[in-house]
Amino acid sequence: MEFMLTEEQQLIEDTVARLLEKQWDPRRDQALLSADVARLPLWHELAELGLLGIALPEEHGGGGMGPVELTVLCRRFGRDQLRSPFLSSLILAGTALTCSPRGALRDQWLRRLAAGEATLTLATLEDGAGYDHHHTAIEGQRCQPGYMLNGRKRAVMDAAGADAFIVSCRLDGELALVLLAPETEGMAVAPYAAFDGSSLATLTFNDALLPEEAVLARGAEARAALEAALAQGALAAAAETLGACEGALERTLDYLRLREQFGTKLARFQALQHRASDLHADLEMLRSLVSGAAQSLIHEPSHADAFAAMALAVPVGDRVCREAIQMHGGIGMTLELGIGRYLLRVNALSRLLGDATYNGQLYLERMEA
Amino acid sequence: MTDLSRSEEIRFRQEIREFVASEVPESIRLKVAQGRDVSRDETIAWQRKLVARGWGAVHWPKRWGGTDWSLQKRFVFEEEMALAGAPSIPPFNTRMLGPILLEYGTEEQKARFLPGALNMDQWWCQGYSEPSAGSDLAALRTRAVREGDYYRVNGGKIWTSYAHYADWMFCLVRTDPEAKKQKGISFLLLDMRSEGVSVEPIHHFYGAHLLNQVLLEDVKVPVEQRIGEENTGWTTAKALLEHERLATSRHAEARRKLGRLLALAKANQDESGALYQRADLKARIAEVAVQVKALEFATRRGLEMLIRDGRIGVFASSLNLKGVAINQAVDEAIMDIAGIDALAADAAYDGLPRDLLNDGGDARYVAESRYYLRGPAIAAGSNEVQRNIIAKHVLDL
Repeated sequence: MEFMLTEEQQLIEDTVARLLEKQWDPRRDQALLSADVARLPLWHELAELGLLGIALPEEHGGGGMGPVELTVLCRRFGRDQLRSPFLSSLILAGTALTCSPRGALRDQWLRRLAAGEATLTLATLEDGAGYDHHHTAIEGQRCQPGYMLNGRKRAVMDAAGADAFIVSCRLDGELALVLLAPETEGMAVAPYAAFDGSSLATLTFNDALLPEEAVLARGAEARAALEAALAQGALAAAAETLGACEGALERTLDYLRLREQFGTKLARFQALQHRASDLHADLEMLRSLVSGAAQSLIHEPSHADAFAAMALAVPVGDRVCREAIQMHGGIGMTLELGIGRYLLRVNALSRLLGDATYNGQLYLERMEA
Repeated sequence: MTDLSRSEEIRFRQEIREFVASEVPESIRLKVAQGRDVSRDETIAWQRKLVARGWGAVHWPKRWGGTDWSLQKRFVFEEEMALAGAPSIPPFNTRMLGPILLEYGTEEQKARFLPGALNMDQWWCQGYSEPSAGSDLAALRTRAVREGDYYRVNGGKIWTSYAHYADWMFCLVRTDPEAKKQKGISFLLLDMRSEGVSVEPIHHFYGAHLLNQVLLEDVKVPVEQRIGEENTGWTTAKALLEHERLATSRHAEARRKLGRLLALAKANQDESGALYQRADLKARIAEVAVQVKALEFATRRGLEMLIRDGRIGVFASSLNLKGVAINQAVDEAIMDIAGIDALAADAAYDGLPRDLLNDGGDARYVAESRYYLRGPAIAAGSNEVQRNIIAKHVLDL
């Protein structure tokens, strides 16, 4: 087990940090919705540097790396508050595609994802299922020349800009993953903005036509691909939360060292020192768990440790990012300072990938199995 | 950096588990599972079994009965011992005194004290804290005045774990009252049977007797029982192995207790069936399980730092702070799951089905085990001291 980054992983971290420093300013770009970011030059630079497809298969233009490298990227995106379709397209849809059986449809989309030519998103969440992305009730009815779908998928990330959707459903009584184009007849995409700047959408299927050749995976293969995508998604969200906390705490400590009240630096107050120390200790635990879980996923793509990481990230993220605002005082409330942006993101991630209770239960059930 | 291959590690763990299963008597196994104190005689008997197996002090050099194992192998050994439910040996003999003697003792001192410390022919205790020197240890005032070939020691020690069992005490005394705090302290080995030594019990609020006050009145300690030079005792005492600082996370203990929590939750019933089915309790258990997993990875990360850099530095403070908090969280959850059964403080309680008693479903003594863990949040650098260390060294506040 390795918790330290290798030289190569450190290089990836440095590369993306430099790129974001040049091309991404959360204050300037805060009006952008996440889906729009795929149209910025930044996105193409990420592709050219091989970072978008870092964990996609080498034979389709990817980097062939894995969970540790993805974690490095997501952590940095959290720290620098980049909202983009990376989580929806490269992590969730990318993992689902990679883990689906080989075929022309899969291979072609993997190439396009790695090249930065297209984005995909994964549509899993159904009405009445809470946070449970594993729950799939929408069932395709047999028809000519394939199936007909009815129902809704909720909180689909970055659907507004997506070139296609990977949708979970049931076909002939078993789980399936299918790939649908936005212009699919009978499918409606209703985008909306989330409080953190994410672009989301509700997908409605009304006798939507699903041709046989749109099926990516069925049965056990579909199950494995979906499980891997959701585990990798939970880990990525935990890593992004960790990065957000690191960014928020670092800026807060800088402020405590600078700001004076009652004739002394805020950093001299023991009450604030102890709170900051507690946040640091919490982050050391989260850092350890995110790194450890990334190692676990290398050997088993849907390892339960990913859900443990997210279950810890949710309360730690909320606490650290709330405290960052509180310790700044009045200025912490302002849009202009932007310290609150971290809190918006970690809270949105815990809606998108599930809260602490949901992820904790997943961990407990799988740990015991 | 890993010197044990995966298959070697699995075999080694298996070997340890089999050893514990065959060598730890049933009565002691139950005490450990219940989180209860093992007696003086039981502890000594277990240490001697370990010594016979060559495992009495795995971090000592082979020449003195140790193993010369790598850090990683020692970590696996200690982890597996704790997971298997072996009684833990108090750290004073082999983990605290041993390394200090090995580093600062003369050859005569090593030959005189190491074999007995290993075999527990002498039970050692640690005389550091004093009534006015707790977290601020360097404020200690017990005075040692040189009179020819011996020191005359006056003063007293407090919070001395197992002093009532001890044959000997290693202690810090003030030899130069004029020097600055840390500079005037010496490290002495003191025979508890010397004239002028008396031990008064201090009971924990829940009744257990572990701690003591040790009064020292004109106690004569021969000069050859001083370790290191006069007035260098502070440095000597700090020779605690970095390795020990990893152990303060108590991660294996937390994992074993998590197992007890799960067993209790499944065994105990209310009107709606096993408590484990109750959503609120299941969420609570999941929360604890997640924290224990984080602690396990954090401890392994600490081991990696130790192997790579030879030290874990201030990361130890986070490990200590969270290790204690997470162990307490497991204990609190156990107590809540045990419900009414948690009231039982002795073996006479028969409210549990017989088949649960030996199977981790035993809720007797859970309160005792829980309250014991309030102690580590105070000893060896209280939570507040750890927070000061983090603020100073990591956060630069």
